[in-house]
Amino acid sequence: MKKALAFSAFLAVASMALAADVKEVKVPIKQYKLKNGLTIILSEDHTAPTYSIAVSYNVGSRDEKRGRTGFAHLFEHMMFQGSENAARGEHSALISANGGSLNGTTNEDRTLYFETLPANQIDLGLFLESDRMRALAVTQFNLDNQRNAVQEERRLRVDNQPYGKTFEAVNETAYDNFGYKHSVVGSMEDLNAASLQDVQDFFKRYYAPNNAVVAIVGDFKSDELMAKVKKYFEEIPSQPPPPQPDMAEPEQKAERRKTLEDAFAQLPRIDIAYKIGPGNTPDFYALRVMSQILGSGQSSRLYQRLVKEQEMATGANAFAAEQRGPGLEQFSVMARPGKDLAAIEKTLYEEIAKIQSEPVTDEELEKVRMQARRSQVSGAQSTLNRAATLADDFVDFGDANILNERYQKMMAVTKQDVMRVAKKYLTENNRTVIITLPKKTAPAGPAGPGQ
Amino acid sequence: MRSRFALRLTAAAAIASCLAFAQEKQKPPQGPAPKPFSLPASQNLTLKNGVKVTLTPYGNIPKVSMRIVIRAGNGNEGPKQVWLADFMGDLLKEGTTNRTSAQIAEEAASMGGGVNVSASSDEITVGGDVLSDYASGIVKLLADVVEHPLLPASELERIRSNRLRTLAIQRTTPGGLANEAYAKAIYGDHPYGRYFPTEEMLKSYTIEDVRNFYQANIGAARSHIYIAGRFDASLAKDVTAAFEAWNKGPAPVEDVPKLTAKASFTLIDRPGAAQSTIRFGLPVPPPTSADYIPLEVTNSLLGGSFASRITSNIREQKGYTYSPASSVVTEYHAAEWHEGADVTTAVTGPSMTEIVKEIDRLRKDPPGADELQGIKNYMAGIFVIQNSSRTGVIAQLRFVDLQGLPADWLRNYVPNVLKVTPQDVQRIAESYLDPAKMALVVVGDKARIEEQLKPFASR
Repeated sequence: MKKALAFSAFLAVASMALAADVKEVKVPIKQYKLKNGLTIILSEDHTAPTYSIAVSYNVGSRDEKRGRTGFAHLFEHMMFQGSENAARGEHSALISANGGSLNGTTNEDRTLYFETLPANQIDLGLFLESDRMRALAVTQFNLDNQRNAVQEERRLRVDNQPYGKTFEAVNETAYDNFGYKHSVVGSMEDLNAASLQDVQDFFKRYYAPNNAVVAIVGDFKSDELMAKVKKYFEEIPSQPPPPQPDMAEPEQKAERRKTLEDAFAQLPRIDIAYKIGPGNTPDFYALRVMSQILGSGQSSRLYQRLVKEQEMATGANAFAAEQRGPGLEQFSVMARPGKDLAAIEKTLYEEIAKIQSEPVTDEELEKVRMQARRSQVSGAQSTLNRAATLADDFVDFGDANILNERYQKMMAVTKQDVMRVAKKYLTENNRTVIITLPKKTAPAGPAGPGQ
Repeated sequence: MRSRFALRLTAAAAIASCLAFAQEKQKPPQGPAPKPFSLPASQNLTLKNGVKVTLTPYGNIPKVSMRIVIRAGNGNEGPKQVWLADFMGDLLKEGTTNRTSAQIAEEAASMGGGVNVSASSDEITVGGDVLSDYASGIVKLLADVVEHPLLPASELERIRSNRLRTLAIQRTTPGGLANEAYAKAIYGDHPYGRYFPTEEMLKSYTIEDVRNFYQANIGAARSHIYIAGRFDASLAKDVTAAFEAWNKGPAPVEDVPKLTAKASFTLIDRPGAAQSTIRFGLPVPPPTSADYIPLEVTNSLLGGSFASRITSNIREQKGYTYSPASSVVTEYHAAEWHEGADVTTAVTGPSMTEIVKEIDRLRKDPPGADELQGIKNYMAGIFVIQNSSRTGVIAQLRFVDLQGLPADWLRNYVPNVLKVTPQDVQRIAESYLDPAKMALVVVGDKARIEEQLKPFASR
């Protein structure tokens, strides 16, 4: 009885046709370029009758000029305010009325828009994305309205948050080049200065098809979909290629140090940033491995030493930010009440000296590889994640296939690589130290608007 | 713990309210009819001790989700045992005859996941989501958790104080108080009618009570294992090996409540409340009824979606409330429909007037074809998008199995939604949604709302 059962089970499973290794992530990618220069990346997945579309524009806060900080993000808001054939509010209403979801996001390097919809509504996503790429409705009313929304967002996320100013101070102090020196959300003054003409110029210069990539992942046939993509997008005129910012950072000659007082902060905090190179390079992956061993999770070295053993801190992190241009290796430690930040800083440098001089252990390396595997899998989990990653990697690094390769690149990092990058980048002259101290007086309430 | 008041349809919360359409613009493309929801063939097994197994190869991503669904829950508790199922669930993770509590947590973490246990009215769920590399590992771990738990006395006090805290917090929320009174009004003395325990009950539970609940309710004959994702063909053998030695245990209890729709009114005083929390509804046909899918469509059109009539009325036009929603909430072979809303105190009566007005309007006249088509597109879209994940697929499969629905129910869901006519909607509203037979629960400032609610106190 028991044997018969097991045998029939085996037969049934054998017919389930899973030829490939079930443990591998292999996202199929087809890449095209339309006559107007628009890059299209398609990845079929017939698991469910849904799809996601992501449109990444090669423009972020790094492209902003002095006096116009926050503009790329403000512009992202404008993209939801209507276009020639979709009235204000209609874009979101149409997506929601079909059961879908949507959003947009801006960072230093790019601006991304995305939707998930049922597969029978493939035309709707193409229609809406092509309509706003072709003919955005730019009005003074929309601009004023969204300027207010963005300023509220700044108050909420930066001005009215503990350590909100710390994040800005790290970049402002560490970078010399204006591209990464200023924040994505920008300053109140600059947001106030943005004019309707600025919006129109920005749209024409940066939101051209030759400066964008469209990635679509889900339940469609690529050939049929390409015919539709051409119908919706190919007639949108291309523009002269926008100027690309020079992101070069001059070599730093000495440590930089700054102390802030924060009315919302309850605990002292120290942030240390080292300038590193761009993302998707062997050095970057080695730094990422190093960061995880030092400061990712409760089994990491910094957590074990500062939080568990010495009981000096409530939390300790290390992170290598992946940027198109020069990134930062960042450490942050939140002190326990009454604990000395100088002692914490000293311990941090001891741990850095140790990772520069002694190889990490096999167990540590194994754990990082496991984490890399998990994040590769979770990064590819939904059609939306995949579409966004394909589009972003293409804009940032010119290669959509990184999604399939990132894990192997992490796996290739050796113990020697970790020591080498630790020695190369984590030097005294290359570091910026930001100390944030709780302000003695109680906060008087939310910060007021800027001038 | 019951969570039957969760909203199923929430995706539309971000729609802008006014649409000023320009002239001569291109119409957005309509798109063909939605595709039916089709699943890759599952492999179904029944082990000799009665454990049912459903293995569903799904997706391209190397992860596996596993859920052991045990046909026992709060519905199996006695009148003085409310939340005992939750106590038992909390204790399942606290060690087995083979693993300590810490080992369970570490082993799950090393596979890239965790062990989750939850109890609802009809089911206790033990689950985990891991990388495909560890598919057989999670099978072994979860099998150990359900088959050989220690249910250690040492952890009981910690769990008790957590549950006491949860109860105290929930009982201070107007939503919790409203849900408790509404469950009582609909389900009466049936276990589904017992939403909260008393503090005394929670303080009285002994480790013997917990172990007795396990013995009386947990076993192979009540268990159905669902695994979805990417896994090797050999996993069926691992599942069989891990579960075939489990005690058969008791058969599932059939305890379907006999429900009659009957008007009632409960006003719970919350002096100084800025809002009144409303629950207004009645028992409706269960998922096994031929009218169930038309009822879901009717609900979406009446109050269950952002574009629905009640929401457009009391949120968009009148501004009485931010988050009104109606829903059909199911138990085993039972269901109820209700409108729920937190409305500004001063307009508690007018809100009820508008809610009743919208229900009556739909009971009298069929909706327009365009209005209904929009709702059907929305439902078809939400259905495929919500179910396009491993966990979404398992949720649907277990719903079909719990309710004993036909095997093609999921495949036919979208076509059946699309088949619903305006006349069907009117007939459903008229047959099943009679305001004169609904239970009304309001939690609010009695001094300010009692007079407003007079017309609804006696219907």
